[in-house]
Amino acid sequence: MASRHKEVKDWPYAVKTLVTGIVGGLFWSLIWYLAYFFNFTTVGPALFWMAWSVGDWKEQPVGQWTAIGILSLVSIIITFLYRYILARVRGMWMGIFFGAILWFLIFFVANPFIIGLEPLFDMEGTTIVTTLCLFILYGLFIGYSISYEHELQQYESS
Amino acid sequence: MSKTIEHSEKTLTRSIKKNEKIFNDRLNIDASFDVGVRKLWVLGKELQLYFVNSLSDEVIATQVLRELMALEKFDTKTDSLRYSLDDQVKNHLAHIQVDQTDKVDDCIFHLLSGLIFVLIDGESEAFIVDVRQYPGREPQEPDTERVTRGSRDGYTENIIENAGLTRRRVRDEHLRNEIIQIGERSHTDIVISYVNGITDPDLVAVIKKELENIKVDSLTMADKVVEEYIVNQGWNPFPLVRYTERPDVAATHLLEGHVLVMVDTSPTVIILPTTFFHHVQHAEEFRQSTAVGTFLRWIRFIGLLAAIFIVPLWLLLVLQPDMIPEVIDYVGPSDDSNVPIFAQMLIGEFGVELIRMAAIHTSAPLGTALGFVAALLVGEIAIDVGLLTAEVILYVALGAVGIFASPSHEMGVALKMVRILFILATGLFMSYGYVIAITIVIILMAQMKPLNKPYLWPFLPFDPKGMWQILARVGVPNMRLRPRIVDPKDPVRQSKS
Repeated sequence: MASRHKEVKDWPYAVKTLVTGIVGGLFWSLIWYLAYFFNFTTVGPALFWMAWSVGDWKEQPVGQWTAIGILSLVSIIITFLYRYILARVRGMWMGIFFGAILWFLIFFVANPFIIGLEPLFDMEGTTIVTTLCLFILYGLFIGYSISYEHELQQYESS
Repeated sequence: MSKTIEHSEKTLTRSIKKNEKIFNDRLNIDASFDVGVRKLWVLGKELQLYFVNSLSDEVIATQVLRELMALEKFDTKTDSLRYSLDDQVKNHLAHIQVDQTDKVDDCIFHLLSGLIFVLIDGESEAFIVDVRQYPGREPQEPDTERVTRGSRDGYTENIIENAGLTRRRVRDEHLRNEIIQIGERSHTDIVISYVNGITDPDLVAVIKKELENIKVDSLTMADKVVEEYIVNQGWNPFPLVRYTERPDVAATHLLEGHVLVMVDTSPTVIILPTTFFHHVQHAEEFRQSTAVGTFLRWIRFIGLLAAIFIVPLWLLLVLQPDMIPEVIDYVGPSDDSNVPIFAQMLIGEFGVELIRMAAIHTSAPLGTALGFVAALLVGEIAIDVGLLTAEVILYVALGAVGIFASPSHEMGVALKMVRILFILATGLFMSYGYVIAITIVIILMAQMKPLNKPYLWPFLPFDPKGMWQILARVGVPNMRLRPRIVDPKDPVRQSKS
């Protein structure tokens, strides 16, 4: 049996982290766009472009779609950060907390630097709730996946 | 059982009269019509045959009796030199499964399972012969898991047949069928099946421990009771184990590293451990080509997602028309109704559920009448009198049909409850309710860990390969690894050729 194990191998941890990051970013920014489409939130994934002044197209569907693409890539970096800093924390609650922190950093701390984003206290309630929920679920997705994988790797190596 | 009954006589004696008294005291043979004793004299000694005629096969029992009676014809002098009477009787019990015991409890347990036992005067051991035959049905195609192609046999109420149906598909020497009896009064047989060397031994140990800790008096409701002991359900509506009536599904899971728990008298077996996504797959997909299987699966996924999310979303858009995107601004009821839409929705949901429940308990001839009443009276007339708007009926029906597409009945009902929760949250708290309710339900589902396996795996925590096998019906030649969720000891299903 030992020889068979060499032939068929599961993906290494790094590849899994990468795929988790890209899928997490893609999936949740698609949901974000969907929420934007149904007016749950006044800011869509195109929030990414708002840090730069790049013309009107950023609010159009093409701006949203390119933002979704770029957010998927940014998500890889976030995932690797999570892996190196927080992967040891077991369970899913750290992920939820991580998502909430991420939301706080973007919507409150970085808020003044993002052109076209209203101050947090002027925003509509639904926008706040929807984006916060999305970031929490995104954080849960990334955090739980990475820490569970970490747990399994440790279990399998022991 | 609150108080254990202690009996003074634990072992058989050499005197047949004393033995007879022991059994008479405990079983009160005269009181029950189906428990009996047949006495006969062979070679000058008394033999007693105890039986339960409702559970044993009389043809085989008669055959055994005839052989014993034939002993009389033998030349007693020469034969008795060679063998004792004890051995002679044993030699003439014409059956493959014959056991010897001197314990009264064993005799009674086997007798009440449908076996017969033979007492011989002067011997302190009884012979137990397996002549049981239980009333039951032939394997039939299970009603709830029909396929267009594939085997039509399904599990029955007989645990021996069920074990046989499984073993017929897994001729592996490593397949283990461990049997235990649970229920202090019912003594129900429970079989734990697993493939040694694939299944995680810790998982088997945990399940066995949970089973052995069951101290209930009876398991007349069979596997559902066992499930409640193995996984802590609480008020959680989601099914934490998967039931199947199909031996091919069970055998597939066995070889993936799952554990089966079969309970006698139940035509379903429990597959452990299970996750949410086990409940949205169906054997039919694996009987079709990969493309067709994937297509079927996606239709089901879209139906389920629509049933859960679109119905409350529509309600939200009606309640908050400013949220409707321009492209679909035609959404919303065109005709006015006296009843608020939120109330209509709840009435509709209640009605559909009521009809569904009624349909289950209705016999086939009355079913047509029920359908007629449901479709025509409730649907048509409710619109005509202005109680419900047509669009509400449409969305409630969409929700109902989407749920019916779920292959697991338990999952369907749980998802329906989740949808009603979403509708309530939306009706009461508008968009806040909708978004927060969805988030909370996802978090609550993610934190469920029956048998220490995350319930939403492979979506949460994310497992790329596992998720791919959920999204697409992968061809069997490409499934090289067993799912990681079961911690298989031999993770490789097939090596590369």
